[in-house]
Amino acid sequence: MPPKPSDKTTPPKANPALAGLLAWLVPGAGHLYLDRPVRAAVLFIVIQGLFWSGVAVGGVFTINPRQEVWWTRAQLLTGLGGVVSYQRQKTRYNEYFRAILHDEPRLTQPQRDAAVDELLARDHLALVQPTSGVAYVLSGVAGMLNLMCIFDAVMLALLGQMGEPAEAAQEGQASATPAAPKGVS
Amino acid sequence: MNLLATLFIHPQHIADNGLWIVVPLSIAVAAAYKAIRTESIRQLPREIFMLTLYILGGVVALMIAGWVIVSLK
Repeated sequence: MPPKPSDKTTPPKANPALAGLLAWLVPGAGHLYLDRPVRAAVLFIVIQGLFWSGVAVGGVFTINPRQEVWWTRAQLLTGLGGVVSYQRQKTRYNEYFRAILHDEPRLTQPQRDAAVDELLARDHLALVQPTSGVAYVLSGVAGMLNLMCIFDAVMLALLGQMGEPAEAAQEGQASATPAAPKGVS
Repeated sequence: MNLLATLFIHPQHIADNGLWIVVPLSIAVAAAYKAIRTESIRQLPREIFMLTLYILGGVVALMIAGWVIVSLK
């Protein structure tokens, strides 16, 4: 009997670098590329939901590379969301920085940074505990979870595992095996 | 409306110590881990639920252990 068109004798190969890049850019996209749409949807909702919950709690300066380097690195692992948030805080910070530069041109760099921090606190943009802790943890853990997804997508692509595992076959083994149709070897 | 205007821009005021984030974090970790590891998609919701319970149970057990240790000192 000739194989059906759906039979995968030679599974399509996935590019590990592309899988990893997609998984970083948009959480779940790596798994979508690997033909695992349900898992991709779950990962997208969970990781994006967690990250943007953190940003909603902490505001623009949830990403704060000047004071929270490691949290920023974790947050940037969420891909486009992290990059967009990074640019938002950078733009806002530069607005304040230019204002300080215009008003007080003789200040040294550390003095300017301190002045900007004062202005941010005055305008209720600076993060303080316990809000900062909640915001950093929610958004940072989202990035770390995405790192796990990136790793999984790369490994699946390296192993050539496209699509879902043979779930039906495994479940079929657990239950009674149906008799094979006559004429099928 | 005020909340919507400040959301994603200004930090929100959190009155307590933020321990409640253990619950969404546990759900998120369980969902992401099981979405990667589970063999059967149909079992995914049940497995997420069970792993969330395990994580929360572990956290509560650690809290109790920590409280006992601190109390004994």
